[in-house]
Amino acid sequence: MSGAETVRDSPLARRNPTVKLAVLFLASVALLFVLDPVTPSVVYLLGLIGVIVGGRLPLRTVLAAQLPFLAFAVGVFSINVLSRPGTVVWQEGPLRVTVDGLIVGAALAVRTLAIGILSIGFVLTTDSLALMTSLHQNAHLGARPSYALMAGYRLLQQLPGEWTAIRDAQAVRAPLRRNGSVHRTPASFGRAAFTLLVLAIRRGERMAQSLESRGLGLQPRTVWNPVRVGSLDVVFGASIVAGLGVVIGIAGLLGVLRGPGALF
Amino acid sequence: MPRGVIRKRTNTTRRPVPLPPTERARKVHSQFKTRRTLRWRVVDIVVASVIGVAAGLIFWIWNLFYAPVTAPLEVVAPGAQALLYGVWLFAGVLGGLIIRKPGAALYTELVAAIVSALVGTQWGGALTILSGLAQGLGAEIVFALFLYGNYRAYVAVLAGAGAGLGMAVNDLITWYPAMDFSFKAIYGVSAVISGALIAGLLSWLLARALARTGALSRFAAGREVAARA
Repeated sequence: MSGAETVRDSPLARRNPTVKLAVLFLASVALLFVLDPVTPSVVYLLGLIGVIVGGRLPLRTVLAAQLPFLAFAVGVFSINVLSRPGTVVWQEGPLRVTVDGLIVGAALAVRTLAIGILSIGFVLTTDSLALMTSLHQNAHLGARPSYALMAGYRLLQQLPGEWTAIRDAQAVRAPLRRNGSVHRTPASFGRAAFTLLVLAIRRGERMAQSLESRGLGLQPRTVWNPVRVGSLDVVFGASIVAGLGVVIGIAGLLGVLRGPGALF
Repeated sequence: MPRGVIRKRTNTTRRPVPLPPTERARKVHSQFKTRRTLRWRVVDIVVASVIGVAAGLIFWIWNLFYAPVTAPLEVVAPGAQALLYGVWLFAGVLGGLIIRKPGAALYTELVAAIVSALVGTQWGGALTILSGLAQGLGAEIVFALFLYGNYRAYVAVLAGAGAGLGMAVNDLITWYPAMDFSFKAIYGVSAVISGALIAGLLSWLLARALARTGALSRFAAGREVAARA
């Protein structure tokens, strides 16, 4: 689970989490309106270099994190290639491949990868506690939601351990196979999931009690570890957005840029 | 009457059988007419977050397995894969059923989406969160239409269907903008059915089962079941 690990110090990791989140959101929305294969490819390459250099991440880690995105990209590509009408390139029985399908499929697939590399850069370089603190102080998320989210995050770290404990406790009482191994059924999986949910709710009630007893919701609050938006963060955010704008602008000038109109 | 013979009691007013203290407390507790307030307590927001987090983990596991499970449906009728997509919608309905406050369904589904996005999904952070927003909003609107006062099974089913509709609208715009009409129709209908059954009915049964364990004793959802028992 990527969130629980400590984040390496790097230029990207030192940037303000709220600024990074805002940039990621902006870039994802902007890419939604780009539907040619070339522009997102450039964004992807720039993003890959930026994440590896700026985040001081090993290439292997970044590539491994991209596998789920790659699987989805392949799925989107093949669906579009096989189902989109247009000039037929290749036909075999009910299967046919069209030029339009290839272009739109490649555009959607590369777009998935481009958004993916930016998300990976965010997740791998952002400490979750810093994100919560930053959301509270910089994005002015209220004290209640941010502390509740923090409580939820604590639970997230504990849940895998609890899951193992529940499974072990059930295995002690479970009927054994002839060779002595535990007979696990899908029903036992469901029971364990239900137990986990009950445990999570009970723990949440206890956390709420202790938060209430510590005066959660009283104003004004002071914080121990202030997070600030520095001038470097502003420069970082502005330059990424500007870079994306330049890429899309050049693509438009060269005539390769296509919007959602490419679909119809 | 001879001495030593105990006369049989003839009057019919029965004395109450003494109840164990916990049972007595439960009866007394259920008689309190707790005033319904729509303000979020601390326990509401923390437990909603906790449900969201747990659901986010379940979504994450489902993200790993859903593709091979739903692929056969896609082959039978393109778009029918959405028949199983209701799994992604249960967080909002369950949160709404348990917390019973304005925004609970939206918040729980959104937290679940954010958690599964943080842990890593194939759709990219912002788009996963956008789906959570659309799905949670669908359920939220249904709970709001019943003025946050009705949490019976049919409302849960309608909320699930609403979440399914939200999912269909979002998916068809974001992921399948270019598909033909029959795909969109099949996808939409499948999403609504799946939301109603998997997210609606199953969440209602789940909330009832949770209440029976006593874990929801600080919520109206839990006290209702305790009063019936």
